[in-house]
Formats: sequence, structure tokens, C-alpha cells
Amino acid sequence: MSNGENQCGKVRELLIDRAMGQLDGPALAAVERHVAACPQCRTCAGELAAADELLSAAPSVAPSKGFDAKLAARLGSERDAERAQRAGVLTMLAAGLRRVRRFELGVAVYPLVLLCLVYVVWAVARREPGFARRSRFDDVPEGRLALVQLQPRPDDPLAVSRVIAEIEKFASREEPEPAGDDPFVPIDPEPAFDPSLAGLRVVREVQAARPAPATVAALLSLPEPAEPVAMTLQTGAPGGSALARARFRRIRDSKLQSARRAISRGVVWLCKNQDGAGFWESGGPGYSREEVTAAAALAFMESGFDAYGRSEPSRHLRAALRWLIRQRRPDGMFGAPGPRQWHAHAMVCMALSESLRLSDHESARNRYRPIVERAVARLAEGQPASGAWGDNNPELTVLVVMAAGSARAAGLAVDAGSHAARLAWLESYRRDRRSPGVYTREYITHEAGKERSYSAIGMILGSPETAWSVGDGSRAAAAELLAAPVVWGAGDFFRWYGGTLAAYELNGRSWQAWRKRVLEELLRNQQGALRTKAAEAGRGSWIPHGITREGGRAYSTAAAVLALTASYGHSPLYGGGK
Amino acid sequence: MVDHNMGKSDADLMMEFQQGREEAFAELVGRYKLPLLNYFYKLVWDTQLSEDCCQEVFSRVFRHRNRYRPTASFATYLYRIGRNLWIDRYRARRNVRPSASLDAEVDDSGHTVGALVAGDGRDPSYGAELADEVGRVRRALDALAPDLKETLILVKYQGLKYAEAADTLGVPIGTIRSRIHAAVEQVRQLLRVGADV
Repeated sequence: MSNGENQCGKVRELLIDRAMGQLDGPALAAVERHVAACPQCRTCAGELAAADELLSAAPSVAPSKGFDAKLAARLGSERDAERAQRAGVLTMLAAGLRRVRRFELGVAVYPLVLLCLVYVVWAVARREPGFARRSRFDDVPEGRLALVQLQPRPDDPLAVSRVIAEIEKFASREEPEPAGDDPFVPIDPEPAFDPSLAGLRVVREVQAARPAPATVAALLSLPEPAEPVAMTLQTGAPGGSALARARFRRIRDSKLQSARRAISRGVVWLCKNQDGAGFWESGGPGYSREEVTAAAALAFMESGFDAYGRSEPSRHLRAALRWLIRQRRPDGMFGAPGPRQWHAHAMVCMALSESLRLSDHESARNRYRPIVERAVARLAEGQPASGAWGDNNPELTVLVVMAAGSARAAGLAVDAGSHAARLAWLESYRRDRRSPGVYTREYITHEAGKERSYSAIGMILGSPETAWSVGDGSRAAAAELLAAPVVWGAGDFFRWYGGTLAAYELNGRSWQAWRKRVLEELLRNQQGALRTKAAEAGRGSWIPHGITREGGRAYSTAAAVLALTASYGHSPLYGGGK
Repeated sequence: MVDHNMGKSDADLMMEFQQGREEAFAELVGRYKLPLLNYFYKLVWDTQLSEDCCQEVFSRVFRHRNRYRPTASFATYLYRIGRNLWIDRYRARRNVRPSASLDAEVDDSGHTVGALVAGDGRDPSYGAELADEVGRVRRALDALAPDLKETLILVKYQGLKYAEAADTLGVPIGTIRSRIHAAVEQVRQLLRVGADV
């Protein structure tokens, strides 16, 4: 091979580097000189240039309109996560500093500090009204009693008869008539019972020091006390707006400030992010606006707001309920046809039933009660023969049971036969010859750890009429519930809210263990610790994760708020009517 | 308004960002948003997936900003993160279905395992472009072996020097050069007039 051919061979290799922009300086100049003088290399260079020009025609894209906003949101989350991590580090540093100081102060101080901590924990636990299981007054069946603590003045022993007289006067007052056809017109709050009229002094609203009379009749039968007594009288059932106010006060007066603030921030975020038409948007096509809006409406109501108040959350709740009612389809269903239509329908039934339950204005209720009754009737009409919805899905089946329970609590008729079929299907999960309470069936899901805990939730919430006692499967259910990880990204609406309700039903250590983990996880994952403009938009919300990402931020925030409010044990809404 | 970032190198901006100046990071995002997006786009031909990957890369740069050292160019650092992200996602999907064939779908967007490797992302516009020159180029690129294609993308479209591409891909410079030569030769053959691509 001649020198010229060798040189052409080398140059042709360099021609590709030249086309790729890799040559510069003397190397590039040498190649250019050779190409100018060599016809064969010039032809080769021309072919490469044409190929390079064609390659340059490969399509490109520009960022979409929402790209910058999405990126800003992601970076905002990164900042929040860093802030939370730094706070954790500071706590560790502070703990380390305390350890050093203990050493400096000497051994004698350490037991004293420990005693103080024990006292503080005991005192808080003792005073915390919302997290221990108490007697319930929600189901006082008659009368309308104000929620007060009655403490007699030192010079005037408690006169029960005087109290009764004032209460009955309060209960018999005229109900204001709402104006217009809109069932959700705000109504001036009913006047509070004035205990001073009975010569009593309101100290504060607390739980009864001893069991309070459950009914007015029982109260009337009490003898005059020989010594002063403090008692709490709860507003009568079935609920009414006073029930919402009682919930509100219980949260407001809770000593667990972190949970109270978290609920408040969550509600505020929901208020700020509601569409002008009254709905909340989902995060994807799999979840309907109806399902998300119903979840948010429930969150408002469980936080102590009803549709007739004048507060900002009540106004947003009113808009949501109005929007939901307008979404009813000609067949009485809610939610667009699709894989989650029954989920959406059950959730809307729960929300509308609960709004009925919190309304104590008959004329207003009557305006939308037929819509809710029709929707609830569809729950029975659409039930498959097996008794279970969603291809033997306990999650959906329990949602339907909860919706039916909520409807019954609101005084609506619920088909008993379909209810029995649902319970029988859930009951079938319990049967196992090897050991009672062990679940023999699982439903298919891609989320590890979900099957058995979901069955446990279904059992606990769905079958109150069965013989459910401690030792008869409830321990097994509690174990299943607590065995699954309580991590924000690992659950969904049913797990967080239903799980908390189920744990509350179990009570005792199961409830304490669940509540502790849920609180820690929810408080840790609420957005907005940073006081920056970028974090402002998300403050108070919870970022959707995992399989419910499509539900969107409003859905995840509603689920988190509901799980937090369930900790207060407001009412056994979804216990099948117990 | 004075642009305080004008004329600053990528490395300077990253150093400023490490010291807390987020405007510097915003400048870097502005500089590399489009190239990085199109890097992923040429791998998968899917705009949404490309945007998601692009945003994830910037998130990772943000999160791990203190790991950056100016010994390598920022572009190299960025594309290395991008490539690792892509490998992680491809491997993660491959692990979900360990016995899946190249034709098995990895998600309900219609992507297949083989398509993810070859870059045929079934973008809705794909069919419409097949008949024209752009379609020929796309098919020519997709016909390349994965290592040749990703090397060609980095050098030809992202403008990396051989040394930077070698740093990004973790291979010797000679390997980069060989891959580029092989890729260009193959594409040149495919794109010759009358060639059936």
C-alpha cells in the first residue's frame, strides 16, 4: 500500500471525527487540506456530510407548558424533605447535647429529669380527652341537650330540676326556616344553651366525671345530689349540627396540638384548592371528581364543620355538597361508568348521608333526601349475587357497608337483605377450621402486605352484628392490621381511614399502637414545613403516593385528615349501624 | 435587569448553588432543560416520559448537589445522572418481569422491553412520520445497537466530546470513537438514497 493510500485511510477515519465536531486546531486543518487535494476523500467527505445532515433532521421536542411548574413542584418537595431531615438532625443534636449536659451535671440530676418526663407524659395522657376510649353520648335518642359542664356555685348546690327546665326550654324553641330552594343555605347558628339561667356556671366542656344520664328521662329520674357534681350532657341524637360542633370542640380543645394543627392545615389547604364550581380535581383519569370531592366533604364534616355554618370551611363544604348533588346521573348513580364507579358512588353516599345526619333542619334536609335515598337504594340494586363488589374486593365491599351504615345512621332506609349478604360474604373470611379468625381468602393485588390487613379492616368494620368479642378473631384481626407497614407511601384511602376506624373499634393496645404509628407518619409527611413561596402552595397537604397517586393531592389530603379525625372517635359512623 | 449569571461557567454556577444560591441552579436548568429533554426523547421518542426523566434528573442534581465536584464537566455529570436513571428504570422494569421477552409490555402505555432498549416508544406521532425523512432518520437510529445509539446521541446531538462521552458512559475514549465510527457507518448505509429504511 502506498503512502498516499495510507494517508487517505487515516484521513477517512478522521472525517467521521470531523463530522462529529471532534477535531479542531492543527488536526482539523490537516484534514481540510487533504480533502481539498484528494478527490476520493472529497467524495467520502461529501457522503459523510450528507449523512450528518440527515442525522441532524432527527426530531426534537420542546418542553410542554406545564413542565416548569411540575419541576418547581418537585424541587419544592425536595426542599421540604431537606427541611424535615434537618429538623430531625437538630433534634438528635439536642438530644446529644442533653446527654453531654447530664454527664456534666452529674448522676444525681438524671433520675430527677426522668421523673419529670414520666410525670409530663402521665399528665398529658391523663388530660388528653380525644385519644382514650370514652363513653359515647352521640346516640342520645331524644331531647336536645347542650354540651356543657355543670358545676354548681359553692353557695348553690346543683338543682337538677332547674337544669332540666332550662334544657327543655332550649329544646323546644322554634326551628328557623331556611330561605329559598337551596338545601344548603347557611343558617344562623342555634343559640347556645345558657346555663347561667339555671344558676349554673360553665367551667369548660369535659367528659363526665361519672357516667352521665343517656337520656332526658334518665336525667329526670336522678335524685337531687347531696353534694356538687360535675356532669356533661351531650346534644341529643341522631346528630344535627350540634354533633358537628361537638366534634369541632373536641378537636379544638385537644391537648395534642400537633394533630390539631395538622387537621387545621389540611382543611385550609382543601379550602384553598377547591375549584370554583365546588369540586376537587383528581390526579388522574382513574379517579373521578365525585370520589375525590366526596372524600374531601367527609374530611370537612369529620373535622367538625356542617353545611349550614357561616365559617369558611362550611362555605366550601356547602359548595362541595351542592356540586355533588348536581352530578347525580339519571339512573341515580354517582360517578362516571368505569372501574371505580362503585367506589365513587359509595363515597358520595357516605358524604351525602353524613351531611343529612349533621343537618337538624328538617325542611332543608327534605329537599335533597330523596336523591340520597335513591343513591343508597342503588347500593342494594347493584349488588352482585355473591354479596361482594368489585370481583370479591373487600375494600370496595366495606366501602359499601360503610356507606350503608352512614345512611342508616342518617335515618335512611337500607335494604336489610343486601346488607346481610354483604356481611355473610365478609364473614366468610373468618372461617377457618385450623384456627379461628385466620383469613382463608385473599384478594389479588399488586401491593405487598395489603391483602390480609384489608381483610382485617373489612372484618372489623363490616360485621358488627356478628359475634365479635375479644379472643374470637379480633386479636387475629388486630395482628393483621398492625402487621402491615404504616408508611405513607404504602397505603391508600381505605387503609388510612378504614384502618384507623377499625383500630378504634378494637380499642385497647391495638388502638394505642395503631394511633401512635398513624400520627407519627401523618404528621411527618404533611407538606409545608418550609416558609417559602414555593412551599406555600402545598402547605397543609399530603403528597399522593403509591397506588392512589391518581387520586391526587386533594384525595390524599382528605384521607390523611380523615385518619387524623378518626383518632378522636367521634362516632361509629361506619360500624354497620351499631 | 442585570443577569448576574451571564458568562458564568456551569461549574461556577454549581459551586454557587452548593453555597445556597438557587438562582444559579435555575440558570443551569435553563441551559440544560432542552438538551436533556431531547437526550431522553431520542432514547424513547416519548415526550411525556422524556419530561418525567428530565425533571427527575434535575431533582437528583438538586438533592445531591453537594456531591458535584468540578473535576468533570457539568454536562458529563448531568448526563451521567440521566443515563443512570435510564438504566435504573429499564432494569427496574426488567426485574418486574424477569422472564419477559423483548416483546412483552412493561406498562400499559404500549412500551415493550425491547422497544425501551431500542427507543421505539410508540409516540402517537410515530406512525405519521414514518413516510418522510424524519421517519427514516428515526428508524435508522432505532436500528442501531443500544450502545451505539446512546453514544451517538451523546456525541452527535448533545455535543459531548469523546472524552466527556467516555466519562459519562464509563468506557475508554477509544471505545467511544469505535462506537461512533460504527454507528455513523451503519446509519450512512441505511440512509443512502434508495435504501429501504
